[in-house]
Amino acid sequence: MTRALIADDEPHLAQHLQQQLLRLWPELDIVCMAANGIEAADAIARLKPDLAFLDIQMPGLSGLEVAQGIEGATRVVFVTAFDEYAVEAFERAALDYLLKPLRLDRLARTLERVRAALAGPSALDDTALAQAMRCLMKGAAVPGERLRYVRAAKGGMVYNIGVDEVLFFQSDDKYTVVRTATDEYLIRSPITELAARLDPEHFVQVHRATIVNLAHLAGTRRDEASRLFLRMRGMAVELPVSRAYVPLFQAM
Amino acid sequence: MTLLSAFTLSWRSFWTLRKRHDGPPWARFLIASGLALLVWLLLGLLGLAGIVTIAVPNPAYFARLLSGLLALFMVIAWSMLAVVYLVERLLPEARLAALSPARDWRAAILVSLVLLAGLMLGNLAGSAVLALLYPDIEVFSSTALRRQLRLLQFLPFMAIVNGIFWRQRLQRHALKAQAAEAQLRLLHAQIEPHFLFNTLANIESLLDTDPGRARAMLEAFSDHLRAGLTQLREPETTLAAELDMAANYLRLLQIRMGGRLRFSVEAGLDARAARMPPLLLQPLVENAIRHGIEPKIAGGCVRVHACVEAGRLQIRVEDDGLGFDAARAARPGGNGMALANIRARLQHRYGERARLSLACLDGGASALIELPYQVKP
Repeated sequence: MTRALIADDEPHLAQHLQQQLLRLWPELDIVCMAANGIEAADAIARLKPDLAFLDIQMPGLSGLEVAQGIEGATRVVFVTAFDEYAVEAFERAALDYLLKPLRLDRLARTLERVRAALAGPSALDDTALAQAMRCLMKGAAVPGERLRYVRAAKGGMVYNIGVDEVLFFQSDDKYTVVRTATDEYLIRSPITELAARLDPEHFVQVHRATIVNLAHLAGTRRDEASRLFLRMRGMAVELPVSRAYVPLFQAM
Repeated sequence: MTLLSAFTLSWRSFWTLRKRHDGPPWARFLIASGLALLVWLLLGLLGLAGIVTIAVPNPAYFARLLSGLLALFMVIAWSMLAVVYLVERLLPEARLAALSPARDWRAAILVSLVLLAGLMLGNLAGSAVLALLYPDIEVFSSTALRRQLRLLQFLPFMAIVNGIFWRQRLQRHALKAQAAEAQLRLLHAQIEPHFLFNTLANIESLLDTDPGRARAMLEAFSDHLRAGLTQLREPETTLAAELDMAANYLRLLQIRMGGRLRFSVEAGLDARAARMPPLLLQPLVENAIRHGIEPKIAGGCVRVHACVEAGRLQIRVEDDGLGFDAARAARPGGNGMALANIRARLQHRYGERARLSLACLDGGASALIELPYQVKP
């Protein structure tokens, strides 16, 4: 049985989507109705649904950010009232998205595609998702000076670290950790801001919370659930790759 | 084209620099001549009132003086017209377009210089003619140089009059532009795709399950749109209308956001009757939602409160949402332009007597507009 999650901060819209889904796909099991981005990300990590309908504008995390954090096999259909960048990005990547107000015939068509995709696992959808994400991140990028150094605090000192030395950046709610071969430091810049300002030839975002320096990448590993992990040179820790970014490493 | 419409058209485009003027050239010529006649009459009145005195030996001399002056003024007017025409021919269209509307003081000075050049040239030419025609009148026969110098005495006076005129024009333009901007902002917010489609989607989703609610929402939505259209046409409105519009908007958002939004709108009868410029309140309410409540997971409360205190109307919009710093992090590229627009409009209309102040609350934000309390007489 296919299991699905619906995330929308407007309760009537979430219920309406649920009703329409059950009408068109009665055997679909809707395992969670999330009211914000953080709830959605937690539920996806915990329940591992096959399918997630994500509203784009939500408090906590946007639908795009939730998708950036998905490590498992959950497939994403974005739901949006109309966001010109997003719609254009989805269209170009031939990714599934739904426009609000919902149209039943459009929903039916989307579900057909989703069913086909779920039946035979293909890399096509992931490639599309990755492509759309890259488009959107570029669209959101603030033009500015490219970063060559980061100034990061550690124990009362502020260090100047060349970005070439950085293995990866990883963020939690408040801070971003800058990891070098020998040490780690804290900065305040969020991951999205860093992603926009780092050289995309060397630095790639592989997760909602992680940017890695390809120059220090040692190798990748897939686990039994076909999730992808990165290993950096001289480090034992593995970094999870979100499903949206897996295609970046398939050619390697 | 009737005679009257020819003159009205010409008059409207008389005060701007353009390659192509509305109305026929002869109407322009006549308007310039008419203005010269007006100045001449004015001077004559001043003479009659004894403000300007010239020693007059006999009535014949006086008649010749007056007719001579009229001729001089005519020549000056035509020469100003000619210089303006020359400038319009010679300058490229884009430069003219930058000069003609009251953009800034540099344009004003440039246009004034052009007119002054025409004035001096006309004075020079007119004097030469008059010296030939009336050699016996001392005022006309003095050397051209002295005449120009005498004219320069009037310069400071002319500069002041000109300055006041341009200042007022500039202010009128700025005020109009800001009001237009506020209207555009409202239209933009009303047809903003997220607002529009999410509202429609909500109405649609309620149609089957809760038709009563769907109807209420449709009513609130159309009231909101209609209030906006009314506000667009009025140069002035009442606080009551502004509050109704805000309440409608909040009602809509409340249905959409479910339990996440609470709100209250409170104002006494005296406050509700106050006259004020339109669209001052709505942007503040929209900001409270967009930057305060919407990005906050738990949601919150928006409180709109208005009262009259010591002859001043105070309108306060408070929310217990994310607050300024956190909101900036959650939704960067905020809406500071709306606040700048409100400030500029208050400044233009009330000067120092009105202000908009923002405060960071302990979890949330507060905006306060204070302006003179005015009711319709």
